[in-house]
Amino acid sequence: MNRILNLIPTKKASFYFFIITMLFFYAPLFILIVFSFNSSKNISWAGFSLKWYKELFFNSSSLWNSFGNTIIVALTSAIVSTVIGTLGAIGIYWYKFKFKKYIEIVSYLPLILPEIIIGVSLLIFFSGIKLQLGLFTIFLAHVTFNLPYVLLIVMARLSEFDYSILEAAYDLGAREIDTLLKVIIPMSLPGIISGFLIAVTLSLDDFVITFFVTGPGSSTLPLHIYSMIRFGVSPVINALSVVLIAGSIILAISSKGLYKYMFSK
Amino acid sequence: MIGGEIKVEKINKSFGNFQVLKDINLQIKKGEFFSLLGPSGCGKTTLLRIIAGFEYPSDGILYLDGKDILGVPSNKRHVNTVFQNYALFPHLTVFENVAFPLRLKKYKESEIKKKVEEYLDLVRLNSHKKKYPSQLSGGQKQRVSIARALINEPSVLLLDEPLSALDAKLRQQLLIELDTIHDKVGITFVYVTHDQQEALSVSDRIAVMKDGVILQIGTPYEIYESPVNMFVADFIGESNLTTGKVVSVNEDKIVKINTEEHGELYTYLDKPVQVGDTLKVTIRPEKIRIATKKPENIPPNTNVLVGYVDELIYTGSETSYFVKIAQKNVFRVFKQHIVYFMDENPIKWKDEVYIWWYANDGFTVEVTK
Amino acid sequence: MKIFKKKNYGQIYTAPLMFWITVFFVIPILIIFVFSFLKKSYTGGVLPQFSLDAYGALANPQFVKVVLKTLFISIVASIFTVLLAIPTSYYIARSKYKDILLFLIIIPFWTNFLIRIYAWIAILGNNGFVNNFLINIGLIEEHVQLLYNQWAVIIVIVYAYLPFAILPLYSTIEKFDFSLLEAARDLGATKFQSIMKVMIPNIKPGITTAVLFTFIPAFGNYAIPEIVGGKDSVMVGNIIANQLRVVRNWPLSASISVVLTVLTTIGVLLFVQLNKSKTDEIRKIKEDV
Repeated sequence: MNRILNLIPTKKASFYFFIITMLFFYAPLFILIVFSFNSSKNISWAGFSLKWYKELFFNSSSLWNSFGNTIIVALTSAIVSTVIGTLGAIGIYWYKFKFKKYIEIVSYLPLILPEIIIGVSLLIFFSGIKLQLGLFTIFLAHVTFNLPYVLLIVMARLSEFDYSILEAAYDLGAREIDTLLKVIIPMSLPGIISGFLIAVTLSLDDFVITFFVTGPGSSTLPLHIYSMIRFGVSPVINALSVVLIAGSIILAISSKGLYKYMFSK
Repeated sequence: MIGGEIKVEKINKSFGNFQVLKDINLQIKKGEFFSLLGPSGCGKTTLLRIIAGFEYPSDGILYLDGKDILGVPSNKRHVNTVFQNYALFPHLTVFENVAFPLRLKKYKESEIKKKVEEYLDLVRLNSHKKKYPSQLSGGQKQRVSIARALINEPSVLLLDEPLSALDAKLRQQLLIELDTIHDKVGITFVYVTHDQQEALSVSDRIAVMKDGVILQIGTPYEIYESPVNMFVADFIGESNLTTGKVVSVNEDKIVKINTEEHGELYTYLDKPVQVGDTLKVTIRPEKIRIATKKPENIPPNTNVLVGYVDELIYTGSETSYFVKIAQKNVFRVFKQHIVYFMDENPIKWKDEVYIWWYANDGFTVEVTK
Repeated sequence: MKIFKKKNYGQIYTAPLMFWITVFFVIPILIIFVFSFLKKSYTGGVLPQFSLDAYGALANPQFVKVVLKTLFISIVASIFTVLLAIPTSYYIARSKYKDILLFLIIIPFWTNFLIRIYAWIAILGNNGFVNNFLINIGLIEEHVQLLYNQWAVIIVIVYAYLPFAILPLYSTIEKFDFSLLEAARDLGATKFQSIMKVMIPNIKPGITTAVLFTFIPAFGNYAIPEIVGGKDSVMVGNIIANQLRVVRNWPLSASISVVLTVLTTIGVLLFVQLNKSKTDEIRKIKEDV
């Protein structure tokens, strides 16, 4: 066995594994894309057609309604979690205060606990305080699971700076608020923006937690897709997938480009 | 600008159980270039941070121009700091970094432009004003940080090991530049360093610190030529040590001592001594002469010893010899290469050599009754 | 030097975070904990009476079977993931085009999570790509049930968490000094020995992180077994949801949640003990994504 393994050139072997991984990653997406242009409902090729796209764009108002909800929740929860998370990261990273250890430990727990625990506990909590389940409860839940990510990312940015930079600001005459607004926030802006983008992405993508805290009539895109999947394969989902894949790639590349342009100095 | 006068009175500082500063008393004059010199952990940086307002002493008083300023927060003290790691704002250009204090004070745009350019000229960085800190070299960054600290027109500028992150050559250049800037702006500079060369070359006065205590305050000349104890003598420059009992003191203030290793030696009466006292005498290596031939026509009260070259280090401008005397004591001797190539008998490793120095060149650092 | 007198500002900056995490995370978790010790109400919800019923029910052999199945699925999926991730990240780390290759790993994961699962339904389903293909080439006549079993769950878990294993592995392998392999061979090791005895021990932190990033989400998974699983692949997460939403036995759902939380936390704590640099890893990965 050992001898046989020695004959395998490591680099070449790892290349084959890399190719397998790539096929594994891309083949499903490729199939989705190809069959979104299929004229038949089945996954066997019957000719090119755009009818599923037509159906998606002109005959799926409830889907677009869910899409709108998703965008609203993603943006609002990302903004709120970015603000709270950024301030929290600044406080935790640079200051000493009561309960610091508590907040440090507890803030990261949502990151490691299974999503279902957060979903279940929030559902029980919301019904306990008689909060009507709906977009608002989804928003609350999304802020909660976004916070640790924003915290981590902003913290990583802050760790690039020495405390002396704050001392320099005070020394030059800045008050606490000047230091926050004119030094800390501008210099950690790249971290804050990536925190925000991650929060948007996570929120757009979330299914499990949303599934538990949603109420009647307030569907998000992942929930909508879920209910469509329950009815089996539908080429409309294929078409939607293509639109979403294209959309997210364009968004990711342009945000990466914008990010580079803004912070290349 | 007018320099401020700092007075430190009985300042103590502890971190937990560890006392970093013990009863520090210090007076820094208006316009002085004052250095706090000592090995790491001696408390010099803590003292500087107390003056800056970043730390608060456990007790004691700090005066600036006669006013107690301990209650004044750092952003309102008329004191600014140049940090070891520059502490430039990475998101601002060179110009904006220097303009930062003025923008806080809501200066008019035209005033800001005029003043920032004036200070960038002072540090010779006007051509780099649109760059970001990440595009500058270490030396340039430190110059920006100096301009930024000076633009508030503080009466005292604090410099916390500002050159330690730079390489040797650049350090030399910037040191000269600092001296020039000090002459131009005329305010008080308090300079923290562990590098005795730096401190000696630019300071008006130096305070040598160790373990939270000030050992000696004086001009570079005083500190080098008359160190108060062995630690200062050793820390500032190189020195050779010999210990002996006083045999006699003559009317020319020449003390004769009896040493275990080298017999009778002469030294100058720096401190009142009595026959029978034990003296510790240091001799700087550059004050000792060395030759392979026995010196002739030497004045009286010259100490001559014979030994052999145990080690020699050639450093270009001079050679430093480690001469072993009587198989025990090693003397370090510097010889400038003034006439190196004309030397008939260049000294080689293992050569037998004579070393000699005049009584006046020894300095008594410690006297034990 | 983090010593500064202005302690009160730290309190101000962290107050909103403190409030949010306490109200929307700590309190709900505590409520679950309390509920797990109460009696169930037949109308849903709980009765305010102490009871260990919910924990007693955990001894039920049916439930133990589910736990074992969950363990089995998570372990198998983690093994596959890491076996695929090590050579893949090795290749990326030694490639000239690291950035582009890493980008290729990340792109599929900008696609919606459910769409990624759906892609597998489109492939493995009764009317899916594989079945149609096999019928078209005449290998089979009737479609074969490829979906709704534990292997489908395992494949999709591997698919979903592979990048989270590749990224930490990549960052440790990239830091590995490959001249050590040459040194080992120079000292007489075979190629295989040099990899097993020199490289693997050096990239161990990366391997542990990769295992953690796959095993933890797999063990607590709900969505994947719900969508592509079947009767043989009910996992702990599904039981929690089922007890809560269908059977309406809140205390039982709560006690299972508590057990899952405790198990996960112990796992993570053990891991942190073994590998102190974990937070740095997470930071790096989140930045890369």
